[in-house]
Amino acid sequence: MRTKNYSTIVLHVVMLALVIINIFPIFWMVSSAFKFPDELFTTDIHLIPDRPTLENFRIALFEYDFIRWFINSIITTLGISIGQVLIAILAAFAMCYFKTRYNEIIFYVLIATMVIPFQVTMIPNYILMSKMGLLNTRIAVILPTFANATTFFFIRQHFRSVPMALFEAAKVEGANSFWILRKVVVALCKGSISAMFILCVIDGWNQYFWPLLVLTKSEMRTLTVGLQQFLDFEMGNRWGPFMATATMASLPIIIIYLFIQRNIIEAFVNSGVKG
Amino acid sequence: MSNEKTLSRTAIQRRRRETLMFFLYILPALLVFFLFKYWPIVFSAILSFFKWNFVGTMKWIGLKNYVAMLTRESFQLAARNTLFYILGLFPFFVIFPLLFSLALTNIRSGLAQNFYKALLFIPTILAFSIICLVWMWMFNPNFGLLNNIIMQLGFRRVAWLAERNTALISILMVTGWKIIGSNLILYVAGLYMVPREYLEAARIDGANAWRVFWHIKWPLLAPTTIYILVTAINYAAEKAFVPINILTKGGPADVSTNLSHIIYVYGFTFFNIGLASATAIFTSIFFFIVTRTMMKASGGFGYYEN
Repeated sequence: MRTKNYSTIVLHVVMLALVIINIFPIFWMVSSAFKFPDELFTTDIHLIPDRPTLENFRIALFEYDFIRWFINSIITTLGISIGQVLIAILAAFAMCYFKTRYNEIIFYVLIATMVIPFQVTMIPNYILMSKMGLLNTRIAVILPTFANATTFFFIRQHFRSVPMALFEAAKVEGANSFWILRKVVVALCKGSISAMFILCVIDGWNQYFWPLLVLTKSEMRTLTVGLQQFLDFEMGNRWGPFMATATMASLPIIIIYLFIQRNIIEAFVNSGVKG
Repeated sequence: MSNEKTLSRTAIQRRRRETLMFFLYILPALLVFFLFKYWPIVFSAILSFFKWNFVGTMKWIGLKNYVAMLTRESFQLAARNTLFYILGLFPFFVIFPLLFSLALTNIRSGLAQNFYKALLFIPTILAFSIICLVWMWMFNPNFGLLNNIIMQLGFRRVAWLAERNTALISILMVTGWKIIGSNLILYVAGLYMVPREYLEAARIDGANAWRVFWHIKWPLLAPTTIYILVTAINYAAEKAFVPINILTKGGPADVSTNLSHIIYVYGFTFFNIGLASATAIFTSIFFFIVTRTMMKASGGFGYYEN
């Protein structure tokens, strides 16, 4: 019994050590956001600021385009998530409800795009956006992300578990397919659709590479891209306001996570590829 | 007879209608997938045979971009570093998450397990770019936390991101730190799936913990491991762009660059679209071969079963 207790304590110590390493940078970000420059630019280690201040938040909010970036992030994130999930729902429904000889080939055509790396699409997509006159617009950030095989695959897996007998009965009674999609399939799969939606929101909020390419004007940037502005060499690195902005930018995701942490982890494990 | 004919006619009509409706629903997906995934591959392949700088006229130069790519030192470094990142990320992607997941599943209390899982998942949901910038501050040579700790311990400061060896290691550290939690959770999910009877039987037979792991758990975790290895390659070749671009810009002198970052530099710093496209095509072929081999080995982890 004693050795059992002993090994449990060791396990807890090991896990706690990992948690501390894993969470520390985030703690450091928040702690630094409340520090005056003299506590930031020092070789002493101040885990918690001696004199906490909101000055960094003031600078971030009023001297930078924070509010615009925040709004841009919200709009692009919603656009990305709604578009991706809607397209995936329609496609997944087509796959499960209609039986044609094209089902299989089209399924592979969509799924195969999982192995296409971002780099091979980025230059052509950039050229396409620029030809359409969409550079520095939110649409440019949103549109290309609609083609997401993971979202499609995840939703299709869940639609497939809806019993086919329900469909057949409805088909014979002449119910139209869109009604079945809305009232039966979506109603039954509400949980998994919203889980996928949340994963898309997290993904969209955190996008960096693509928005970096298509958004060059400060007022059009999203939060992740805008944050780089604090590190411009000409202005000197403004780490305090940066940490304040980074904290505020992470807050929405943390809040969502606080409430539905279990569903997010579960959806992540089931979909695998996101993140 | 005629009855049968009309029946088959309505059957054909119904089938046609079904095909039409199928395409109606699938159309938005087909449209965006062709426009933003398939057409770009074709266009990249075309661009890789031309000399072009986004403006000006395109000039056909055959395979010269590929020759230029192979002889460039920056490309060779990028390809070599991608392999280095794959190897270097392996412990963070597989070994540590596996060990910690075994530790975690050995904790009896479900409440404690969920508590650790919830905290360890946080780096996964936060923006990689923001995390990298926070790390950049911790790497700061003058006032960064890492150097402050090192100096308190009596050592000399390290220019983490500006020196050859430490630049690569810093990027590995940040990427590894970001991924440990999520892979740990994937392994924990895999371990939950191990049938209890197997473990019971092994216990009754008197198998020790190592044998239970090696003969029962590890083989059953194979799909998870292969999935994780595919993502490791994805990170090494592609996603490491974020830490590289933020922390080192590929430097000093390209020593920490990888394939995705060098494509970005060729394309958006040098405006050498042909060279960038040739490198992108090379990367996708590399990617395709490796992913396909691994997916085959794993039986497609469910993507291909119908």
